Amino acid sequence: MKSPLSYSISPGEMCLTLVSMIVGVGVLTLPRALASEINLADGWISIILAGAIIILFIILYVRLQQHFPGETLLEYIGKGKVWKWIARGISLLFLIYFLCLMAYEVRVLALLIRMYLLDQTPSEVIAALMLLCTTYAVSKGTQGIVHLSLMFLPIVVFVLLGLISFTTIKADFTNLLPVMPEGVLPVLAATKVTLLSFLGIEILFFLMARMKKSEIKVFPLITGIMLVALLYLLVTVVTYANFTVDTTTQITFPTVELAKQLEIPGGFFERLESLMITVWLITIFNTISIVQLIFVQLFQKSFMKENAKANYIPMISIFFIFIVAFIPDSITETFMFGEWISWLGTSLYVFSLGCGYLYFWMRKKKNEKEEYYS
Amino acid sequence: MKKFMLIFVLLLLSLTGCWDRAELEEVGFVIGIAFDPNPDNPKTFDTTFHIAVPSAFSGGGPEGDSGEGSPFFNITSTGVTNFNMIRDISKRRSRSLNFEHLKVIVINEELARQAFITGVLDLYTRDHEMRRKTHVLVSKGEAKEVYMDKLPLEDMPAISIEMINENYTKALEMIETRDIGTISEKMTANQSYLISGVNKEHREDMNISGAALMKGEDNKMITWLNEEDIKGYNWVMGEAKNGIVEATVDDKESFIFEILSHATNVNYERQNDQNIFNVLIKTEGTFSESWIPGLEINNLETIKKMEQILSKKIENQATSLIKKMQEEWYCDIFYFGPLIKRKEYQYWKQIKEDWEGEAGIFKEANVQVNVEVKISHYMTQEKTS
Repeated sequence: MKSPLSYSISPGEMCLTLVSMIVGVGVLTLPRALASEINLADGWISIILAGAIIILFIILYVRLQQHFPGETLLEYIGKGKVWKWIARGISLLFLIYFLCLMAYEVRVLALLIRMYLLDQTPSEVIAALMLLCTTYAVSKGTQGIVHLSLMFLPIVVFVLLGLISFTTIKADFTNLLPVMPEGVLPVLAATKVTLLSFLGIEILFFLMARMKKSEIKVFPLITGIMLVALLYLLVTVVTYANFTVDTTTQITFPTVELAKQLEIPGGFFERLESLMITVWLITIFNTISIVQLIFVQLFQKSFMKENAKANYIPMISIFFIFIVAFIPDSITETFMFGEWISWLGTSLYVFSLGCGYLYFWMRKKKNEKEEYYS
Repeated sequence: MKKFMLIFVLLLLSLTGCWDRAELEEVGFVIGIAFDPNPDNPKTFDTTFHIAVPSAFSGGGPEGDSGEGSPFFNITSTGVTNFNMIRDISKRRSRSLNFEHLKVIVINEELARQAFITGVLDLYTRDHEMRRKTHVLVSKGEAKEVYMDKLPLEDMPAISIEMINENYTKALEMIETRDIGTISEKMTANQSYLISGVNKEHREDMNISGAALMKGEDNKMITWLNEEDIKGYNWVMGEAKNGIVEATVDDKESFIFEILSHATNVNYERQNDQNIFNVLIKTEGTFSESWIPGLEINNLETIKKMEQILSKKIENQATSLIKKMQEEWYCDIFYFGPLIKRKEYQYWKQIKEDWEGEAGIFKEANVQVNVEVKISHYMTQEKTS
């Protein structure tokens, strides 16, 4: 599992990996989640707000990371005596979180494919094939995964932008009015939902360790988040403009339905949702493979001896992912599962960031004391 | 490693089977659906599926085997739910039904009057095979009748209906096509809406005009709007794309005004507890046909006069429909309600529930119609000799 040590992630690569990590199943359901949360068209404002909050989170973390280049957050914390155990605890939670996240993504993917593309193929087969593919990708190490993301992301963004621009033709943007009729509170309530769809930033804790010290910068990451926010914003606005807010609350996968709505003039193309879902497969593949990579590396570092053989971990991990993926019985349970995972992820991010800062502060104090006595 | 390779090869072999294989020749494409009440049992209804026979399409086959048999067939099933009837066809005909190319749904007027549309649209928006672009129409008389006879030029009656329906820009008597998507939008928003009517008086002929007025609160059809009403509707909604207006000078000689561009601006104001809607209809077009002897159309005076006649006429069409809606049917089909929602949200929240209806506020609204007509040119003839 050792990738060449000479490889380090450049800032641009980091930014794009982050984008392809964040854009996952979230964008398929985001317009509905927003619409049914507040029943107003103000969801787009909260996307901007959530984007700003996420940027703040990232700035905070990057500031911290600059103090320990070449190490992951948990490795950094794990140097203290008591902290070692806290770091272990956090990494265990992260492992559970990543496992559930992969399971969730794979389950939604299987559901979607079953619903729109192949209604006879068993979901289990689709999920298994997906996981086998990502496992192969993981065997190529960090460099391989990062480069896969770089390769696929343009396709995804291109198709999504195409979808958005073609569906604006028949859109009625007055559906977005009135703006903030009930004041700021609903916008804040919706921000909660939107924050969850920005999850994936926790990969920074692990991947930024592979960056050179001089290259740990905030700006490229902010650009990435802005790109994601822009995509979310456009998708939501166009969905509302096409379907009205009231109808959006009724549609399970508004973004796919948007693709179904689309007819290229001339009737040359129909059934564009197949294309859309195929592209979606790519993003979900990206997300899962990034998470799986981190999962495997984290497991190795926290719970295995230095030189132990780790070839079999990815394969064992997919076995558990597969089982967890099919625990929820229905689509409603799956979405509920997704919500729990999101909350787990958010709290983990905030908690580990807090721990990081606390540890940093204590060490600084200690160093000052030592300097004082010497 | 060799073992692994072997496993992979075996996997490849076992995974190449296609679960979802559906041969084109084994699928029956449903192009149109008609819903009729069942004469024997009022609790059930009849669904007629209008299925394509591609091999009999004209110019379809390489050997030019057109004319051999009908390019479509209709099959009717009776039941209380849609899906049950779809599966019922599987028992009776060789090919399973596929709805991906469904173009038209026609609902019998009698069913439309019973809030039937909610049930129909449920399956047809829920299922992934159906598209939101499928046209919906209400028929005067038997719905399945419209699929019986092939009309000239197109292979299937449903395709003819779809294409006629898309001619709405040319005829002022037709409303913009209503598809399942728009209707479900109106349904979730509890708005009243119109659905085009299809009328088959004689065999070999069809007519799409007029519209069924659906009440927002219960999705029941309450009445038909005639062609004159639809003209007014198109003016108020800004949908008179490329229609024509026939007007007369002093009730004698007729002339035609062809609309080239049209926009309607509705302005809402709330003054002294009164809801005031200012409807400004602006249109520009050409003077296209004249039966007036000795008319000098290149004269500014004459044009002014023509414009006045036209604006009077358009104003009449619009106001008479608005009046009808306010005084007779109490339905806000012009979406004035959402306009209030946009401008006076707090006020709208209070009155939302009693906007329409007999004791509603819509009835009391003050609607003013202003029309600006411009004859921009008169084609190539200046004088009628």
